[in-house]
Amino acid sequence: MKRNWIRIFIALILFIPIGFLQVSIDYSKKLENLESNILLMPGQVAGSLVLSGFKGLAADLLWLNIENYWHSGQHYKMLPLFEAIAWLQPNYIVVWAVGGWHMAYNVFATVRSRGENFYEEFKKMEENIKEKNLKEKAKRIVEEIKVLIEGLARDYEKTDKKIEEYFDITDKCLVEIEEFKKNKKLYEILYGMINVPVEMVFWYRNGISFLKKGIAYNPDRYDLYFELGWTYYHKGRDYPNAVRYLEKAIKFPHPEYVDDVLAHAYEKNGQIDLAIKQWEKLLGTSFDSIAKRAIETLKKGEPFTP
Amino acid sequence: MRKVWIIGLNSFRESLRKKTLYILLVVALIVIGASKAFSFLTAEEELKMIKDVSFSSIEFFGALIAIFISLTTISNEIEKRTIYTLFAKPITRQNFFLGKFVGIVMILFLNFILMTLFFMGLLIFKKSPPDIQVFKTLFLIFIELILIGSITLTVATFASDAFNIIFSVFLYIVGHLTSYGNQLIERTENIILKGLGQMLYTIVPNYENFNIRDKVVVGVEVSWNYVTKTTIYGILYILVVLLIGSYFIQKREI
Repeated sequence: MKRNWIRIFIALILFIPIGFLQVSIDYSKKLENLESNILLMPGQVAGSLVLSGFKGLAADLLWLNIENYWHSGQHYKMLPLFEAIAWLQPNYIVVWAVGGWHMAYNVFATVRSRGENFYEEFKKMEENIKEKNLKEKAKRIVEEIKVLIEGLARDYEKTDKKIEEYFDITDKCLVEIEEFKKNKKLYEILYGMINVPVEMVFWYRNGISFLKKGIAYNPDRYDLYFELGWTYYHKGRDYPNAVRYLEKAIKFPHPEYVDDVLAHAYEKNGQIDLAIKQWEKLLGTSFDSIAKRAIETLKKGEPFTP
Repeated sequence: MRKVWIIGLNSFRESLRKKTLYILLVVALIVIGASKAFSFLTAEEELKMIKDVSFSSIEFFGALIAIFISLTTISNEIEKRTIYTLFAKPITRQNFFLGKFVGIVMILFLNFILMTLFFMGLLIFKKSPPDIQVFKTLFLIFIELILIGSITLTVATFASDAFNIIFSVFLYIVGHLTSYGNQLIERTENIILKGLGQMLYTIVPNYENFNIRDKVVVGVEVSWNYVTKTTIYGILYILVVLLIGSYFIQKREI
């Protein structure tokens, strides 16, 4: 019987190395980025999966929900899910990349189409505005905002400085529509339309900050630097920032197209010498013929990137 | 040692006759196979889903098998009174207990291998042969399954089946949450609470240590150092559990 107690004694003693090992494992988890965060998930299934240690599966279920929302056009519903998945699996690059793209491109486009709806509504009720002065003023505001919306959707720069200028326009318009308050319907249309460019900028910036958050979790891979650089380049026409992040992307192992985009970004940013050097790096790769043409054109002093 | 092996082999054969085992195995294979249904996603997303679903199924169904097989392995012997015949022979209670443990490890290994082969087949079919990280993940899952099985077996030496199943499932969930509990303990200022919390954190098996699958599927590389430390942790814990089990089996009135 006495010998039997020894077993319990040894078992208790063994908890000492177990305790030390646990401390060491916790330290390794921190070092190797293996820690996970708790999160109360939307939806019972996902929540119970998280609590049972199946975070990856919970993330997959949420991803399938995103697919459903995407195909049914419910873009706004996808947003909390991106955040949730990113929290569950912060090293899942696709979520950050798709989430950032979704905000800066898709939600941005959805907001823009709401602007078109406001415009159509205004056109329908334009005839009913009896006072000529007010009608002209409303028309001018709507056209001014429409130009701003179209510009933002196409090729307007979205640098902080430029955005302040766009906001000056919307602020001015907001003051001007005060006198339309008596006509509630018209006021609502004008107010809604003025808010469209503000919201477009909001979603562009949200996309950017989502990608930056992703970079904070994954700073040693090219992917998200490239996505961010591309969003600045293509959507924002913000070339200094595009160059800044694309230059960071090429510091890590990356595919050739990243160098290609950086070469274009240098040119657009006015750094022609660097653009030529960047194209020269692409000689002998699958971008060889483009690189040759680009170098030739840039050396002549002509623009290569449309 | 030979006696332990013989009991283990018999225990393994007996477990093979249980229908629950086959039902769980078939369901697990169906779930793993169903992960192929995500072909509407991009190739990268589909591969991630296949890995997620497969790792989770291997662990979840493996845990269920570990619990259900370990749960009844001792109580069945007592119910059928075969334990008396066994103890009439020169077999100690320790031999019996360790033999049961060996039997559980064998049955878990068989199920684990079947599910893993099916998973590997899927990966090869998707032209993405498994890398070393996949094997590290699977290895740690297997250690976790043995730990789960040994805990259930030990509880079976002194508690009823009903209590055991509730306890094992509860511990499975709590064991995956201890890391979160530790985060709360670290923020506690009360020294007594902190001490108690730290003690609990050490005593309760930390199943999250074995969970590297969520990181591996998204490309995070787990070092051999981590795998080794976690394996030693698992082995030490299994040893503790078996020592406690052998104490209780000795004390049990049969």
